[in-house]
Amino acid sequence: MTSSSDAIVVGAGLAGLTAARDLREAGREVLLLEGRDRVGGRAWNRPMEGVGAPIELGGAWVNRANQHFADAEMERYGLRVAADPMPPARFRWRFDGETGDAFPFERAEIYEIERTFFRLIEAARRIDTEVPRDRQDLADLDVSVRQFLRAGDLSPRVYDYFERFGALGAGAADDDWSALSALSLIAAFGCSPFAWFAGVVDKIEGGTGALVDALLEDGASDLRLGTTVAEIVEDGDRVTVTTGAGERHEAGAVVLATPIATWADIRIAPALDGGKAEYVAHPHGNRMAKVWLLAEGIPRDVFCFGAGEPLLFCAPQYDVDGAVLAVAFSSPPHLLATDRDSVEEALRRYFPEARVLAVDSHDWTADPFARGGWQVHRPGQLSRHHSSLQEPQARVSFAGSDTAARWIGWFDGAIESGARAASQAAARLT
Amino acid sequence: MTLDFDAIVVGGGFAGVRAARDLGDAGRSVLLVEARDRLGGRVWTRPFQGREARIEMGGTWVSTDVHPFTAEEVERYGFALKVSHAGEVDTRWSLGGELIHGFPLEGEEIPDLERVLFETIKASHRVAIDVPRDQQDLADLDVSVEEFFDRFDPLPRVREFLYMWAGLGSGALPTEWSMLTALSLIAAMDNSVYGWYGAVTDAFEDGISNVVETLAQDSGARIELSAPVARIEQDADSVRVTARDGRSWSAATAVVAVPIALWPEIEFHPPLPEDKLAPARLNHPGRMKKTWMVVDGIPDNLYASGWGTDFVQAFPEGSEPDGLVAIAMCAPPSEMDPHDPRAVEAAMRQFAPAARVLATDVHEWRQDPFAKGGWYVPPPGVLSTSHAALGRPEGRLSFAGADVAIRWIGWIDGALETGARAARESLARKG
Repeated sequence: MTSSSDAIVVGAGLAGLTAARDLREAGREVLLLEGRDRVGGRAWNRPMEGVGAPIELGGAWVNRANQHFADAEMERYGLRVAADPMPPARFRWRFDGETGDAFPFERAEIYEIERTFFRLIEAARRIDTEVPRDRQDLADLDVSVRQFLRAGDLSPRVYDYFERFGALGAGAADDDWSALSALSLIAAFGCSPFAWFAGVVDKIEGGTGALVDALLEDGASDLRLGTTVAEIVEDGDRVTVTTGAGERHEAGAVVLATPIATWADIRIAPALDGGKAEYVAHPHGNRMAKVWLLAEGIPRDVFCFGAGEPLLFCAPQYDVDGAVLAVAFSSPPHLLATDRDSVEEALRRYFPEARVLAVDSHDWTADPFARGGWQVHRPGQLSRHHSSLQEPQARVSFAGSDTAARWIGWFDGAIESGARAASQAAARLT
Repeated sequence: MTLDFDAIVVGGGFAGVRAARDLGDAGRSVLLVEARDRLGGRVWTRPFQGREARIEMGGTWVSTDVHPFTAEEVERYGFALKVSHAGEVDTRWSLGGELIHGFPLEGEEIPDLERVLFETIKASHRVAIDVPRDQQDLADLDVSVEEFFDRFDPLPRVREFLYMWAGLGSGALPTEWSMLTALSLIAAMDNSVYGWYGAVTDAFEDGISNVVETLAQDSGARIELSAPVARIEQDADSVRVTARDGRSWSAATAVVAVPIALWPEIEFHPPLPEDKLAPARLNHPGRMKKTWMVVDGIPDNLYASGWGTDFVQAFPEGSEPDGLVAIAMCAPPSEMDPHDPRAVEAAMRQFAPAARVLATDVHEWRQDPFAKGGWYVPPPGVLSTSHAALGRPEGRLSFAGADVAIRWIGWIDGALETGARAARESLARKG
């Protein structure tokens, strides 16, 4: 038994939902297949275990000033940015195993930091974020973050400062991601390294689920949850998608909107082109652990940031009955185990009085439908293969924040890619 | 023909004593003629009026990291340096009439500042610091500080933040001095805007006048104080320098090491060329009033900065039995009278409402007939047209002083740079 529809969208994250909504709006019938028992993909808002407060286990932040696709969707659905209930004003730093509240750098190091900011902005200004990186002359920047920073001849502490702030945006070790991946985001943030950090403040009121639900409802697609995809086979003017359960669905166009790291699980015929195959062979190294913790004995207004620490960064977010609900991040090579005891131990390195009452997280790396965090390109990928991620193969288009031109790995990039893939698919259907 | 000296140095500031010392090192007989009754020029260490504390009335801060000539003297004589202000400070800002504790910018202002500072550093990279500005293609940067920032249209409070630092570095309005002056200094700080703050935290432990005296004594020069010069004449073989009181000396060569604002008041024969005199007649807009006070009711780690306030910056540096000894920089457009303790108190209360000012002390360099202004901050249009001419020798005369420096224009290190260069020229001349 084979079903038939105009288009099939594989993956109901923000990219897939956007593609389905746009195709529906263009008058097409859409079958939306999702492997999980929920929609949203790497955006997942749910109550914290044992606490009940709603938390974002995956992507959370939007920056409306710079993210025009996300801004337009929020405008369309009347969504607002949630007021930050607990804006931290100060930092507690850990460098060289020492804890301190003052900016932990001496004068000579501050000159180095200033020089490096200049270098980052100068390099970011070379990037046109609307144009795939392989269509610009950027190969010299497509080296590992380690290689890029080392060329700046930095003292070890200043190296750590930049490498760790970068890791906070990448979840990858310094030889596992490209400086061009980082610089592309700095460029997207208006060539401001500062904004990359400070721009990560605003969340969607009602959680990311509000945007996911609005897109889902508006798209009114035929949604099948718990439906994995085993094969996508194109033959002439039809594409056949076969599910893990052996069901066959036919359509005139398919949008594949799942993380690139999971494409290897699908047999795609004809085979993926060279650029896409390269990405499938070398998936990204984002192993970020995002952990929510409810703690007592920590201040409400202090960010933690440290080099060589399992707890790379921690930010208080909400007050829950007098305790602080905070979000913490951990990135290779100092990955944190996410059980309560380990999190408490890591937090006590900053605040010896800290008591962790509850923790919650989702292991995106172990999740078979994610196989890691958001996309961070490996050295040598963007400058050679970026545009291939956006190019359809006949009747199959590709979406997902992984494939974005501008906001790689962000909600905005997911929406950008979903809109692009929908228009590619629609063109195939006429 | 018998000449009185091998060389005469006119002006006993940093440039003059460095020239005299280098000529002395080379075995030359030197006369150092100084208009004031003291050496040092626009640097001057003396006691706070009626008190014990010794204070710097003029130039103070050095950084051996970026001031190579200063580092040379520190090395040669073993001068001790002290950190003038650093560490955990109570940072306060006043912008647009609002008093802010801590860093004053927020939200979109911070990336906006980052953007404008990037453009500033980028422009500074165009400046080769050891080449006169008029021998480089920099005319588009030789515009007022205001005009330069207008190109990047900073947010209002970002502009005020930048103007505070500009006022602190110049004692002039942003319309009055050249961005090329500022960019030259940023370039000299190794293309750092942080250096605008970070390069000025060290001072000489035993006072800066001690440094001047040390060089002067080491020179072996004969020193004539209170001898303002009226006339400098030269012919093919010699130079004659005549003081206003009629005393007169001859030498084979001379170094003119007075502020350029004084050049038009000296009768030169033959006359100075117009490309030297025109900028000298303009003088410059720097009119900082470096105001000292004894004050209580302020935190001992206060670090106050403001735009639209009487003081662009104020911080305590020492103490007396009855209060803290603080420095405060009064820049235009403020016309506050720094001699009036009540006016100074009102100005301090813009940052610290409980301030009580017990005494003030200030030397107004603008009113000083032998300075006619603070450190040199070239106005728009001078550096890109006349920079090389300012320090160019004229016959048997060499020209020195921070005003004519190539690298550290207006700074102590620039004075030393030109003194060393003038001595080299003089030695070559004698030949």
